[in-house]
Amino acid sequence: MNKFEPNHIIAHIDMNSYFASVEQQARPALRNRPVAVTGPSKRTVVVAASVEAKYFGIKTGTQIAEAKKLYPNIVLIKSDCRRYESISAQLINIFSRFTPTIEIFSIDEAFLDLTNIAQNLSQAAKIVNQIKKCITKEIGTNIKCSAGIANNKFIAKLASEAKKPDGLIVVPQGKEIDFLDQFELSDACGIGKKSVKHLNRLNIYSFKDLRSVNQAALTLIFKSYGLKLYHMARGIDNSPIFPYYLSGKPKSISRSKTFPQDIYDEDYIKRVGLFFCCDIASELKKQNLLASSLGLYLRFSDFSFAGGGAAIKSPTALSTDLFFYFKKNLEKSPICKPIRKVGVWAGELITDNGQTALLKDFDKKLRLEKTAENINKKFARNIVTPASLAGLNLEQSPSYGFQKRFIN
Amino acid sequence: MGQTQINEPIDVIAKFSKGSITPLIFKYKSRVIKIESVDLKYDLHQDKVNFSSFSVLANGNSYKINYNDQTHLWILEEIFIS
Repeated sequence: MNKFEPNHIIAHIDMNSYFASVEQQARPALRNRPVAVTGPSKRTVVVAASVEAKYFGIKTGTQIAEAKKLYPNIVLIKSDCRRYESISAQLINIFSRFTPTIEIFSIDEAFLDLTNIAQNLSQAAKIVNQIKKCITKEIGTNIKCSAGIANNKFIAKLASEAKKPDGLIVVPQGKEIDFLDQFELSDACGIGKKSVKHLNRLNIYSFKDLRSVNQAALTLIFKSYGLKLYHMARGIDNSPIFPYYLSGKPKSISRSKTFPQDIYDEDYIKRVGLFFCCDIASELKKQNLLASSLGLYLRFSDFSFAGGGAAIKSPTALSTDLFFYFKKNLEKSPICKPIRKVGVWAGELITDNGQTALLKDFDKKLRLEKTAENINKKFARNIVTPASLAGLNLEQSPSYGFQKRFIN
Repeated sequence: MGQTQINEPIDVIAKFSKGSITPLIFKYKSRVIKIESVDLKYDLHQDKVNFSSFSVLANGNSYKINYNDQTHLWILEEIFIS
């Protein structure tokens, strides 16, 4: 039983195979066929698989060669981010006709607070069915979603995962634990692979096992996360809905590049890193944000990963600061193998409330970078850049980490 | 089966009714192509310009055409041959 929000009614709506479904909607010949949406570069991976492709074991992250091996006639479609964002805006528009309290969890997921809209769960189910009808009528018959209804976000999300595609699961109040016990620990949003491993080492393999550990012990082992685990095991979640109009800023901004050939040259990786840092810094300034952490990831030719993040001492939007932390992170991840892909992300973004302008040096550098960016914007891309970027031209798609966050 | 980027201006006959646009026929390389269905429609906003993007079906193939709200130009962006 949820002791925090006993009377809440929360719906979680999760679009099924979203990118692939949109592409199938746009091209009727692709419907009912295995389709994989890929990234823009030549050496990309599957970024989304259609329901039919998933049947053959093709999923997000599958290499193209592997996908072709699993299903030789797979249709590969290049991703069109603008299209997915626009359709996502249409979806929010539909949701907002039913409730003003919507949390956009990611580009294809949202929480809807139906507490003051529906009197009970069955009425909430009717509303969700109406939403489903609106989606198919206004966007397309191929666009389907799964939904979960419960009295908190954690259980609602788990419920939406339970029946795909086009499902609707309602979890009545008081039945949360029975429902939860049907799932593995790894199914829960907020329990990642590392946490599962850690729990397994403690002989905790299920939510039932997790409930057998008291709060003090969990807090001792996992600190503040221990309390979250304690609540999760009991189907409790007191996290509120963050309405999209209050939290429209991205949570992270990242840039990445898969190279046409493997790269061995550390100097070249540094140049790419600087290019990304300049691009991210420009975006931060545009959105009046400061980054509090910076990370990098390297994918090697054998598909192994390295990388990590570091907290930034004074939150910044300066490319020079970001690059300083990029180099620092690179030192911690030595290039031991040929590199296939490099990525940089700026996280823990906060709004620049003008405090940084009080720092004389920071303000001077900020104005200098802004001037250079304005010149680049006015005339052509990258007229004024750091000298080491001369001749470097990387076409890559921007990526925004929007709202997705752990529940609890 | 595959996608081909075109990005060429085209002539389109469209219905403008009750605030919505529905493309009906377009001309590409001297061929008049009748649109059988509009399968996906969405609005885009880029560099302060609004676009309406349509994925349409004609002769068994899918076409992506964009309407620029400012210049009133139609662009054939992509053909997907089935």
